Amino acid sequence: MDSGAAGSFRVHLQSLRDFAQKLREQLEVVQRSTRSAAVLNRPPDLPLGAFAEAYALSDDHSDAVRQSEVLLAKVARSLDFARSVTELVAQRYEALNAAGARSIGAVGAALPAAPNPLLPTVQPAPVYQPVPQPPVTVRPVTGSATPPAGSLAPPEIIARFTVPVPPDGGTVYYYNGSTTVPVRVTVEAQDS
Amino acid sequence: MAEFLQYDFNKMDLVNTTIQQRLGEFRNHLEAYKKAYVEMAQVWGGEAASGAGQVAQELDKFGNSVADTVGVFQQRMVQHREESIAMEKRNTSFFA
Repeated sequence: MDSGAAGSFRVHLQSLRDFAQKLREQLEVVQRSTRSAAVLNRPPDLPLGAFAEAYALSDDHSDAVRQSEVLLAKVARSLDFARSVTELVAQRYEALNAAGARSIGAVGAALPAAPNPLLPTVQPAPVYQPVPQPPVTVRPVTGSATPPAGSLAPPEIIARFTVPVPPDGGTVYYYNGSTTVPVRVTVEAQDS
Repeated sequence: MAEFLQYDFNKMDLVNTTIQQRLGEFRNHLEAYKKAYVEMAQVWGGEAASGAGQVAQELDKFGNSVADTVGVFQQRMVQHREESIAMEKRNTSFFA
């Protein structure tokens, strides 16, 4: 168990329990010694004799045995106190740690769930339905090219070819293989 | 059960201070989110505005719940720290 100036402690619980066990074993040894001393307190088997020195020696022996018993009892009480304190300290640290873990750990159970707001139901976007159109049929047409206004050349049919219908206001370009020339196209129906 | 029980009261204080700072940052971020949603609600209309406003309210409630939880955690941690110090003094008095 360390107790630093910064305010900390470090406890090895098993060491505390081992120490308490050793104290318990020592207490048993001392209690056995106390029982052995009680044997000594009995009157000696060998009478020392009926004279003053013998009586004094016997009294001294009895006093020494009694003092040993008192001393051994004190040692036993001290050992028992140390054992109980060591076990109590170990239990307190263990209980403190367990209670703290339970108390702090229980906070996690109170955590709120992530918000799940009931947003308005999203309506599916309308599907675009194109208006059906009649199929466009491209009819082959024929035409004749005429020179632009002001041209000195007389109108002359120089070619007959099939072209797609030009758009309104569009211009058709004639490409002779090397240059592109805008030409006016007269469109005539084929079926006439 | 850990082999060693190691308590450092200064570190406990430091953790509490750090948690307090993180909670402040969290609330600032949440406030920014709320502001953005409120602004969206002001710009949009109809159900979109209603949804954005509702999200802002839910964020507010969620933030308060988190703050409460963190507060309880800190309170219990401080309590545990004080109990640990008191018990340490009692225990060491046996060996004085």
